[in-house]
Amino acid sequence: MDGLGASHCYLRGPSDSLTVVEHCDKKLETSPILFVNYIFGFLLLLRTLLVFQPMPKKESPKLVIPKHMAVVFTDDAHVYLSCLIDIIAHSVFYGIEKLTFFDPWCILESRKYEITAELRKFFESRPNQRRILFNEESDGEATKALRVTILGSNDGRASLVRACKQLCHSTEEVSIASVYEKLATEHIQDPDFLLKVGNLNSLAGYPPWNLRITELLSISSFEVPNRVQDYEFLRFLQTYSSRDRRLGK
Amino acid sequence: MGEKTTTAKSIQPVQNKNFEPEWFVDRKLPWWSYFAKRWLKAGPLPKHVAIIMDGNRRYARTHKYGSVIEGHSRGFTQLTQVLDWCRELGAIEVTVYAFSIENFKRSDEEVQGLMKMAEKKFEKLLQERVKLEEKRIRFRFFGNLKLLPIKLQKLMAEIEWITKDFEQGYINVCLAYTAQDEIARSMEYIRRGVQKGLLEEDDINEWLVSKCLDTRKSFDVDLLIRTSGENRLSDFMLWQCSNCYLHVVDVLWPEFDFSHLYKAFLAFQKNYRPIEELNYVIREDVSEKAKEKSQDFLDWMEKDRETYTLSLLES
Repeated sequence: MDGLGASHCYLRGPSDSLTVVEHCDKKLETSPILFVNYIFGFLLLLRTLLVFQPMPKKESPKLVIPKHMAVVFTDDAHVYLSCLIDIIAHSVFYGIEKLTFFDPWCILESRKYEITAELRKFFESRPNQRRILFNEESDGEATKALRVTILGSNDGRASLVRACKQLCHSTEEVSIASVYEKLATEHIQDPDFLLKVGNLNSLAGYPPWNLRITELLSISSFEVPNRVQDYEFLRFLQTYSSRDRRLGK
Repeated sequence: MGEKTTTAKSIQPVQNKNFEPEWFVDRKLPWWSYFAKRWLKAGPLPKHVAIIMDGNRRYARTHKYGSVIEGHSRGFTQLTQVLDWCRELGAIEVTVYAFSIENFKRSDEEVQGLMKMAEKKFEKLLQERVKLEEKRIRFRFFGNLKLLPIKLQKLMAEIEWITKDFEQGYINVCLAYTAQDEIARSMEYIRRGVQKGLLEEDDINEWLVSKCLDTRKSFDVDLLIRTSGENRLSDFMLWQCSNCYLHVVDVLWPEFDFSHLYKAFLAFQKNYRPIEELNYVIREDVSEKAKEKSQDFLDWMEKDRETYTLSLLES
């Protein structure tokens, strides 16, 4: 075959070497030599196809688990206790260390203790590898606990006003570190990943200081409105893992 | 501000035929823009648009430019275009994130290249003063400007001075800026005010903190646009954008065109009412009496800020 009208198709063979298969557009001739060549070509193609292995799939990026995940509800219709339970359960499973829930109407914050009691009751009745701490509870144990914090709009810009009121009496200059220190006393820290649930594309007053380099993901609602499925949660983490965090560089 | 005694180093405006403007270039809009603008102006428009111009370096790499600085230069041309478009669509104020304090971590070559480029562009802006006066656009610079080279600071002070009375449009350029640094500087002013006896702890509220930020004389940010598809704020106007409409566009900054901006404005209109309702819920109400009580402190703070600017103009 002289390669007239030839095109090449590269397939990966079993030893990972490239096998070149030529296709020829030339019309079949009746010459016996050409006939043998075509038979040989056909056998070569058959051999290649029989030992063909598809290109190895690109490996999905390694799952990067955020240390601190925040969930912001921008639609009051999506705030279900069952969603909180599911998210906490998934966070325990994946090793997330801190979870913050926020809604701007203070639906969660105004019922913080009631919700915490329900959550505590649910998780204490199930064997957990990790302890779950709610709100201001202190961690006296050596094992890594999951800390769950519930915030509302009173913790947005208002948290910075409270920090300013404390810092205004100091003789030392206000610094970024000193503001962080004051916010940390209220368990307000930088989330690595923020999941915003609802159709409103706004951060709805979430504590602004702490969103410096937070990766944001918006969804209009969970697939089942009052549940967060495990594959869905995994998808959120995969999205987070795929982000390129350059940090200004 | 007091009377300025400018030095001979001030850049003079240029008006000859061969002068090629860079900041104010007459460009045509797409043919459909007339109808698009009419449609848009029937609804609420964002007064203040903030933009994170991300993607210059990736653009330079994908288009095989010689250096990332050429990508930034292309990004600057894009900026002047987008500023025009924003004015056409009714946004009075535009704030752009030009250089973060974090960007000082980049290579010396890139940082020096960006500083030199900024100097040339600001010198050019001073040369285009006639157009500035005609359009009456006020320029302001936000950030920890003392981190920048002195020559750049002087150029920025000069630009702020000559445009200080213009009121038909506002362009704010954030250089050596991060939101946390801005908020910390604002709190530091409040701390000094308390130490001086000009303020009490009970006078501190959200309104006061807003009045001490670099954006203290700006409209509230209505719309934040980020290009290149990255979904984060990167320490940009965290306080000001805590409840504004966020719009992420998956194109690199130099590829951001009029249709992308138009879609952002349309999306803003669609989300306008729920965001306004939410603002009503979360904003702190501060009485006029409380605001008046802080006036002496605010006057002192303005004077303190102006002292440094005047020293740059007079040096």
